[in-house]
Amino acid sequence: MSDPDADLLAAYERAHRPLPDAALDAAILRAAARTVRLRALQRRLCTAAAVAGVGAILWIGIDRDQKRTGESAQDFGMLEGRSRAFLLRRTADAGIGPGSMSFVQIERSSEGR
Amino acid sequence: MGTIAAAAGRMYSYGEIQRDCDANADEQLMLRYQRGDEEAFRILYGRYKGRLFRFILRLTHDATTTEEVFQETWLGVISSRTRYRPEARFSTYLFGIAHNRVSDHWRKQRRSPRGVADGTDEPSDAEGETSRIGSPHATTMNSYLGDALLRALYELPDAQREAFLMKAEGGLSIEEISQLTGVGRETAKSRLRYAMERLRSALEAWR
Repeated sequence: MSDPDADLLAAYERAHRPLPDAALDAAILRAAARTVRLRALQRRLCTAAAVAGVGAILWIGIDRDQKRTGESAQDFGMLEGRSRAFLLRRTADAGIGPGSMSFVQIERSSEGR
Repeated sequence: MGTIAAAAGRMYSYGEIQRDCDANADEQLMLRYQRGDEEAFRILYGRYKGRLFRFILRLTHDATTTEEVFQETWLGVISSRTRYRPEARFSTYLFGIAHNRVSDHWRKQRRSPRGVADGTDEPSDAEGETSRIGSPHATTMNSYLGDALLRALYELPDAQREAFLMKAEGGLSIEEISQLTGVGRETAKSRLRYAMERLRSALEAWR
């Protein structure tokens, strides 16, 4: 069904049609762009902070794991419960067993006694 | 068929055309802007700047106030973009913000809309619209009719003028006008009818 006021609206359409000036247009478009860019920057900073946080946690975990591995491999005497087993494995290759004097000396020196 | 397809470069399916139209619908543009697409806002602004500007100008009838309210309305759209939900047409959303800003302005000015209150505040000739009547610039019949229509428009009570402008500039329905102005459907309908009748009689008198 057609609008009974269509002719009136058409006459209105033909009347003077002012527009906002270019400076006002520019100000509004600038505000719209600035808000979006600010939001994008905030999002990027949040992502970067989250990535850095996860990275830091992973690094701490890996670092601690490496230290533990390093100590058990090289400084067997200083590690809880593992020194004797490690010493047995290492000395067995050289034919030194738990009964020998050399073994006792090595064991004592590794435990700082 | 093959020739047509070759000449056109490629054939577009109805689905593709429909999808393209949907992507450029006002509501989709607003959602795109919400996701950070500046270009979408630029298109939306281009579509509505004239209509909104004239709506505010012809409601407040003051150039300075119009610029202020126009800017506030768009800044409102920008700042509330993250809360935007396409539950209504974008034009309803936009003109709703503008209506609230104009009402705030009227409240600040301690002035109720003419036609509702005493109507003692005579509006200024904001854009020289009424003084343009009969000037050398207005040489065609259409211009004269347009000017007569604008003069009649400014003589309407604010509530009727707003109802007319919401329809003419915003393309809003009676239901939407009723919703935005906070009055019943019948009130909105009668405001619009009175406005149309007065404008029509002003035009008839001129003809």
